[in-house]
Amino acid sequence: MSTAQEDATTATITAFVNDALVRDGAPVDARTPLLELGLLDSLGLGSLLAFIRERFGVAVPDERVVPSAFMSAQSIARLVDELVRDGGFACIEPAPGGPVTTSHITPRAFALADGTEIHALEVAGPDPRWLLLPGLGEVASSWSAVLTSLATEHGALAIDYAGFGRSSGPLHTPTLRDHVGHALAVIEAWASDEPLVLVGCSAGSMIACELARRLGSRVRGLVVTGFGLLDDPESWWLALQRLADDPRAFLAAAFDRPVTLSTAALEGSLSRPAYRSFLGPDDRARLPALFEGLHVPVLVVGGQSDGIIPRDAFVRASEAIPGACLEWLARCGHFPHAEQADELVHLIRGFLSEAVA
Amino acid sequence: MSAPSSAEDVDVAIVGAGPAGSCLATLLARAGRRVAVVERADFPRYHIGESLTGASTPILEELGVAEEMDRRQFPPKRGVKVIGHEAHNEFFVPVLNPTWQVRREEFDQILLERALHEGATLRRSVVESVLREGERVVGLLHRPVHGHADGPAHELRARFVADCSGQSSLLARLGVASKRVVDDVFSRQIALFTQYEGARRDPGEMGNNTFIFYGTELHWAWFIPLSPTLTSVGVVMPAAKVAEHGGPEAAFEWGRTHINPDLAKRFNFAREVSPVRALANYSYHVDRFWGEGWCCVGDAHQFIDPIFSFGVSFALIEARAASAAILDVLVGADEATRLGEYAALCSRGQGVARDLIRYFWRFPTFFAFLARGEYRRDVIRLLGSACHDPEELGAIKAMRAALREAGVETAVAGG
Ligand SMILES: Cc1cc2nc3c(=O)[nH]c(=O)nc-3n(C[C@H](O)[C@H](O)[C@H](O)COP(=O)(O)OP(=O)(O)OC[C@H]3O[C@@H](n4cnc5c(N)ncnc54)[C@H](O)[C@@H]3O)c2cc1C
Repeated sequence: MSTAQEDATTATITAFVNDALVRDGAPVDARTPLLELGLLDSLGLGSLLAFIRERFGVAVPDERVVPSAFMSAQSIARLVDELVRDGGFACIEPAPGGPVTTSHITPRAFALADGTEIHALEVAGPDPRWLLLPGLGEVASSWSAVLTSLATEHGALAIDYAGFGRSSGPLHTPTLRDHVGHALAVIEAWASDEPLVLVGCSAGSMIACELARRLGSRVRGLVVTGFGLLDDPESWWLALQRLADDPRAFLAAAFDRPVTLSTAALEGSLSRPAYRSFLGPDDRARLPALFEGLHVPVLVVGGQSDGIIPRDAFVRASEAIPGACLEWLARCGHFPHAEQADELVHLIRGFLSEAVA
Repeated sequence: MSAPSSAEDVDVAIVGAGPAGSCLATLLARAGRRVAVVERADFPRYHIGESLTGASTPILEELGVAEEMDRRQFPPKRGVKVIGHEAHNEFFVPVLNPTWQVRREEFDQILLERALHEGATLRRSVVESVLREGERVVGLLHRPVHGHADGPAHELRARFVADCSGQSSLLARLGVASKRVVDDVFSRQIALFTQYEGARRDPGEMGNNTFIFYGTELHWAWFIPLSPTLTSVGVVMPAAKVAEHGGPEAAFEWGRTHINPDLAKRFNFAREVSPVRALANYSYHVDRFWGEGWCCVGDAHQFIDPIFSFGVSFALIEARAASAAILDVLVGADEATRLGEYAALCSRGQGVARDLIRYFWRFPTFFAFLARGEYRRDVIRLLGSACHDPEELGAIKAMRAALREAGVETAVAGG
């Protein structure tokens, strides 16, 4: 006998499977063998887990993600109901890309002097620790696949900028300079003297470059992704603002493979004041000098299908920095940390071991 | 049959100069033993099996060939990229230790030269049978390739005989070892492969990795860089499909263009530089692969499936374990005990590999999930072919539990 609760959960899961996973072919019912029919591929599993997290407020722990629990909508519903009954699991925000693991990742909060509270996600581990700086509009959990991939082999911290994610405070229109100041304060509290690796994506790369200039030899490596040396920053910024007005078009340009708005965690954030205020006219005028005066080992990683930053810009950035390495990721767009986390971690590790040698 | 001619004596006679045979010969000769390798093929010779795993690196270093491999500019392999169905997704698993992609004609030659350098000797000869005294194997009968076809076979007396004859499974065929048991799932597969000049790689360092393209269940392809311009490409499918497509060439062509869209688009400016070769019936094992005065090493007693490039690394791991056992036996250790230990190590590794591969085919989605989640480190170890470790890793425990739940028999841990 199934309870009303079970039936309701089963119906919700079945509807999701039909909406999101059944590409063509007959719709499934509660007992359709999803695995036998090959309906649940890796991406599908990722979005199903994200859906369960959003809709039911529970994260399925890794050890429960086993074939027998995902045979049919009904068996998935049974698992969900059980997790809900057991009071759920500590939830972190949904991330774009691959599945999220919650176990090693702990939320952190840093109260700063200007009243801003910076929210972050941390994994503990040996130095040098990695500071992970997302793109504008992204949240700390966009790095969760990187945090998982690092496991406990390096300590790392991914932050939410003021105005985004779970960070909060008085600043509604923070600028690049504000974000740099916040990051310095977070570093002071998190790792006052320890050696650091700075990994940025897009706007995070701009912040990372500023940090590297200020922190000097403490920085064992600077990794620039999703950004480069633009030949015309002014028209690039204009085009980006136009793209941000249409989140769907933005996602299509940014990601190599289609992502849904909810899993990209960008929804809403592109229209925020903090998105528009990031780069003032002065900051844009200084962009051509962004890669000057960097005296740390630098790795530039370009996504081959990045529709936000042109290919040339990655090449020029790597040429502007003496000794910089340039690597590419195929089938990867503007957000390597979300699209190819394991590959990015692998490239950074290789770069760091060469930089040390 | 005429009486054998030119009898000679060695400590160990080895059949075959593939990775297993040459590795074993090197380690035994280095320890001061008189070793004779009997190989029927003219070296250098082509062989399939071009991608190594991280577990092979320390052994190649121990053998003293790592520098030579760098000098030959074998592409450095740092990981495996698996591109999913219709290229909708992909995942990457780094190697356990940096390793190489190899051109086998050169690699096998390097290993053989190393063995000869350490003092092993080589006979260009076909092994035809074994010499026995009661149950005990005491040597080989072999016929030189360049000798008279109807002349007498040569006798090679040895205190121990190692069968490293690869897919020929010589001792199983001769009835010394037990018969080959064909694997139920993978034996119905056929591999079709060739090499290309100028096939398009992923850019930069990532392009040197092994690429596995997943099609649908039991349909897949490999793409392995062998030099800056040369790439090995193979497609694997159920053998029954070949006739359907009109022969090996056509079936290869179909696979190359249909298994995965990301594979299909890599050949715009590429040129096929060798004939399409086909290999079927490559999945088998031999239950009893050691006895009085003999053992089998590498492919001679088992090969499962090429999907994770375990073959050469397993051959090397087993050869190293066999060399330790044989050296002990030659100085009086209890033969059954030492060979039993060697066999247990082989079976443990093969059991883990088999369950890993079965799980990959049965539950590809969950395999990818394991490779990215909490068990990632285990998966890195396993794909690095560290399958022989005594400890049963959490990932393999989880896979075995899922397989059993689905009614698939699995190997027993530690067995
Ligand atoms: C389709 C396919 C793809 C593969 N891909 C990979 C891969 O990517 N990576 C990997 O590591 N492995 C791969 N393998 C497996 C790999 O080829 C083997 O596991 C490996 O070569 C085994 O080494 P070995 O020394 O045991 O045998 P072999 O390398 O086969 O050597 C055996 C030698 O014995 C000789 N011989 C045989 N019989 C006699 C006789 N009677 N007298 C004298 N000499 C004899 C042969 O001439 C040969 O030189 C693949 C296998 C297949 C089928």
